[in-house]
Amino acid sequence: MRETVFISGLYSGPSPSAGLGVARSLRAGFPSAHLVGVDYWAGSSGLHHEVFNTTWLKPPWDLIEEELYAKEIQAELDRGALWIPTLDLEVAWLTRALPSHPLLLAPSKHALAPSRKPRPSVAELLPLEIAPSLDLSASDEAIYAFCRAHSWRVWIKGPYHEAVAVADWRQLEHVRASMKDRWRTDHLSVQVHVRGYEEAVSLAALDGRLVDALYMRKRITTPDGKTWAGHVGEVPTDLLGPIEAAVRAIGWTGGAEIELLRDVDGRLWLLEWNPRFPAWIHGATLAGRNLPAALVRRALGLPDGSRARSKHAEFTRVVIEVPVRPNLPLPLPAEPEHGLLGVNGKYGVSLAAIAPKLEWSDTPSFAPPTLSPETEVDLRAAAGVVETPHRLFLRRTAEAAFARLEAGSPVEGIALRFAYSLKTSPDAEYLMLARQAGMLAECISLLEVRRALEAGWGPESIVLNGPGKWWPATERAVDGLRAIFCDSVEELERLADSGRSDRLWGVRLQIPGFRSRFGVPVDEPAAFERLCAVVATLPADRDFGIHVHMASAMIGVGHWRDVAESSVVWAAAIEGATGRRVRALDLGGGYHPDDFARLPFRDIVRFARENLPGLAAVYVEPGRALTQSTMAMVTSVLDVRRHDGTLREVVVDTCIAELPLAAVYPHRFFRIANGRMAPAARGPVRVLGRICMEDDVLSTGLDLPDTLRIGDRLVVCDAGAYERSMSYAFGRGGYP
Amino acid sequence: MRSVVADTLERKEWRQASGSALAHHGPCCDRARAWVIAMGRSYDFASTDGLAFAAPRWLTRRWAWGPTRWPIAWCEAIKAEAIDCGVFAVFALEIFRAKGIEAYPGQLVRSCAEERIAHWRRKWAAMPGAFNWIGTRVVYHEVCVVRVGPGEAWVYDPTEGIWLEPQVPRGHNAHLAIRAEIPVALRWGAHVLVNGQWTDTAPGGS
Repeated sequence: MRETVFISGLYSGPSPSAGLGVARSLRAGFPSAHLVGVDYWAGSSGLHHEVFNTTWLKPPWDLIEEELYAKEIQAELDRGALWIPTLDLEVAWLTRALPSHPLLLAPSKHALAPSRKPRPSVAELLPLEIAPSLDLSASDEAIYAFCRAHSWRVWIKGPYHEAVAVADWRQLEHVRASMKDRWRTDHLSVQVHVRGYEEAVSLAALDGRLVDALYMRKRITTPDGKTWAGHVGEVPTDLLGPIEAAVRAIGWTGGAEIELLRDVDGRLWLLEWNPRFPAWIHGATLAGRNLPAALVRRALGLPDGSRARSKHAEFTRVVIEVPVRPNLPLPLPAEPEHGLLGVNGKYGVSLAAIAPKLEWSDTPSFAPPTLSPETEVDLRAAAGVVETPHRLFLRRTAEAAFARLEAGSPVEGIALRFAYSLKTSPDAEYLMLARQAGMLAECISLLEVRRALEAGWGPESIVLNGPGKWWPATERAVDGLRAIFCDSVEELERLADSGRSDRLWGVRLQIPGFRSRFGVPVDEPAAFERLCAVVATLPADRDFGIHVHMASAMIGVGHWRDVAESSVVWAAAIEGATGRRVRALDLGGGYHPDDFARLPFRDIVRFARENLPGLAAVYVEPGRALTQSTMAMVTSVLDVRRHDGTLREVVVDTCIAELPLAAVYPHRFFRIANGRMAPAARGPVRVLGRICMEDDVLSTGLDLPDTLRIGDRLVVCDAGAYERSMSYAFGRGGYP
Repeated sequence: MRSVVADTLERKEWRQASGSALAHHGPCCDRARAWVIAMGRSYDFASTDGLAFAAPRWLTRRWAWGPTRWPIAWCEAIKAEAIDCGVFAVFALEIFRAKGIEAYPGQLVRSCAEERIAHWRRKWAAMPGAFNWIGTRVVYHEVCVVRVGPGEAWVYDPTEGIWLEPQVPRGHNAHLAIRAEIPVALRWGAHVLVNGQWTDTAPGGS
C-alpha cells in the first residue's frame, strides 16, 4: 500500500498524545505507507520521529484559520488520504467543521455526543458501574454536601480533559476557578474517586461495527497516572458483547479508549470513553494486535489481518533521543520567568484557544441557595436592620435546630447523650436552648466551665476536653465534673495524682491514619504500651472513657464513621490490655448541620455495645450542627465596580474579621430587594470585604444584578457557630 | 506433563512448611495482637471507600522486609524494624479475620532472578534462626488465601501489598506453585487449591 495517512497529535512527553504510537503501528502494518504527522506546536517531539515521511506543522489553535484548515483536510480526504486524529479536542472540532467522510477515521457528531463527559450516556449500554458525579452548576450547598457525603474523595473534572483531586472547599474553589479560566466554560463537574486499578479497553470501529478490541491493565504509571507499562490481553467476554452493541448503537468510527477502574472488590467502573486511540496503542501492536492497521484495512476494504497475539503480552516505555528534523528546528525558549521552562503539554500553548471553538449547546444556569421555612421567616427581620454590618440571630431557626435534637431511646441500654460545645457559640441564647434541650455542657477551658456553671449546669453535667483545659491557672478548677478527657499521657498521669473526684477520666485518642495534633498517639507499640500502663494504674473506683474528635464537616461522612468505629476498636484494645472497662465513649463534634441528622450515631452505639461490654454512655458534642445556620450577616454595598459596563465586583461593609471562615465552607447569599430575600446563585460578581487583606474575599462569584447600587443590602447566611465565636476586631480603630 | 512442583520444591522443609505462627508470651502478646487489629481498623477506611476486601496495605509501609529470627513472639514482631514474609502473612491474616473475612495461610514457590539470590542469601545468613527460603533458582514465600465467594479465592501478598494474579508470565517473580491451608477446595482463577497440597501454577504446569 502506498496510501497517505495523516495522523495528528504528536506530543510525546510524559503525558503523550497517541499520534506517534498510531504511526508506528501503521508503519508496522503498512511498511510503504506515506505517513504525515500533524501537530500545532513546534515543540511536539513526535514531529521528529523517523516514522513520518513528512510533517504538517499547523498554526496554534488561537491563530489557525478554521475554515481554511477544514478545506485543507477536506481536500486531502478527497484526494484519497486517510485522517486519524488523536486529540480529543481536535476530534470534537472535526465533528463540527467537516461533514463525515469515509476516510476520516473519527466519530461523527452524532456518535460523539453519547461519549461526552462527565456522564457519557453510552455507559447505560455497558455492564459497568458509574462513579457518582455532580455538575458544578448545582448550588454550592449541594456541591458541598456531595463532597462531604463522599468523604472529600472527589475529582474536579474539565469538560474534555483534566481531573484534579480536591480535599476541601478552598481547594475546590481554587481548582474550579482555574479550570473555568483554562477551559472558558462553566461546564465542569465533580466526580467521586474510585479506589481501584487502572485498566482500559482500546477499540477500533468503522460505521458502528467493531473491528477489534483489546484489554490493557496498567502495571506502572507516571506520577501523573499515565501509562508507562502495561499488560495486554483479550477483552473479557462479558464485556466484549456489550461494547460491540454500544459501538453499533452509537455508530462509532475510529479508535476509542474506554478508561476503567477495577476496584479491590472486583467491580469495574467506567471512567471515560475517549474518542481516539490511547497513547499506549503501540504496546497492543507489540502484543500482536495492530488496531490502527486493522482500522485502516477495514476503511480501505482490505481483508482483515492477523489477530494472533504475540508472546509479548507486556510492554513498557523508554525515553530515547531522536535527531530533530533539519527543517523543523526546535522553538527557542521564551525569556525565563518564575517556573518551568518549555512545558506546554499536548496542546502546546493554545489549549485555551481551542476550547471556545467547541460551542456548548447550552450555558449552565446555577442553582440558587435555599432556605428552611424557619429561616425564611427569621430573615424577614433583615430588611429592618439599620446599621450594618449586623449579625442577626435567627431565633426560629435556632429553636428548630435544638428541638430536632432527640436522643431517642437508649440503644441496648446505652444512652446517647448530647453535650453542647460552648466554644462554638457561648451566647446566652444558645446556652439557654441547650439547657432546655437537656444537653450537657462541653468545655475546653476553666473559663468555659465557669460560664457553664453560671448558665445553670452543675459540675456533674460538664464534660471537660482539650489540650489547655486547665487554663487559666487563676481560675478555680471545679471538682466533681462528669467527665475529663486528657489530651496526653502526661496529663492523665497528673490527673491520676490530682486527688480530684470527677466521675470519669479518659483520654482523647489520635486515631492512626488521620492527621490531627490532638490526643494521645497510639500508632507506635511503645506509645500504646505507655498509655495502657497509665490507664491500668487509674483508681479502680473511677470510670474510664475514650474520646475522639474528627469534624465530619471537614472529613466527610464515611471518613467520620471510620474514625468512630476505629475508636471503638482502640477502646476495646485498651480495655483488653488494661482490664479497665470503658464506660463512656465521646464522639466529639464538628458536624455539619445537614449531616447531623443523617449520621449513624445509633449504629455506632450498637457497634460500641458489641465491643465494649462495660459501656454505659456515648457522648456527642454538637455545636456547629446546632448553630452554624442560626445567624446571618446583613451587610451593605460600599462600592460597585464594572468592566465594560458590566458589574464585576462589589465591596461590602462586612469582612473576614466578622466571617473568618468565609473561604472554608460555602455560605448562602441573598440580596434584599424590595424588602424580600432574593437568592444569589453563583455568577460573575466577586464580593470583597471591607478590610485591607488580600484574602478578604467573601464570595468568588455571585449572580448579582447590574442595577446593584451602593447602599444595597446583602445577607450572608450560615454566619453562626465559629463565624461568630472566632470573629475578631480588625480595622475598627481599636481592640475589643 | 511433569510437575513444576516436583522440580521446584528444592528444600524438604518447604514441602512440609505450614503458615508461620508467632509465639505468644501472655498479656504482652495479647496487647500486641490487639494493637495490630486496631491499627488494621484505623487504616481500613471501609466506610470511606465502601470496599469489602481492601487489604492491609499499611503493613508494607509500616515494616521493612527482611530476615526474622524465629521463633518470634507477637510482642517482639510488632517492634521489629524488618519482618519476613511469614510475619507479614500472620499480621495480614489477623487483620482480614478481624474484619470478618475468611483468610488462610498460603505458601508459594516463585522463580527469581538468580543475580538477586546471592544478596539475599548473605542477608539472611547474617540472621541466626532465619527461615531458609532461598533456593538456587526459586524461592519460598508466604501469602494469604482469601475466600471471596463460595468456592473462590484470591491470593494476597502482604509483603508487597499486591493481589496476585492467577495467571502470570514466566520469569522473575512468577509463582510456580501454591499450597493453601483451607477448609474446602477453592478456585483461584483456573487453579484449584486443595488443603495442604502443592498446586502447579506455572504456565504448562500439571
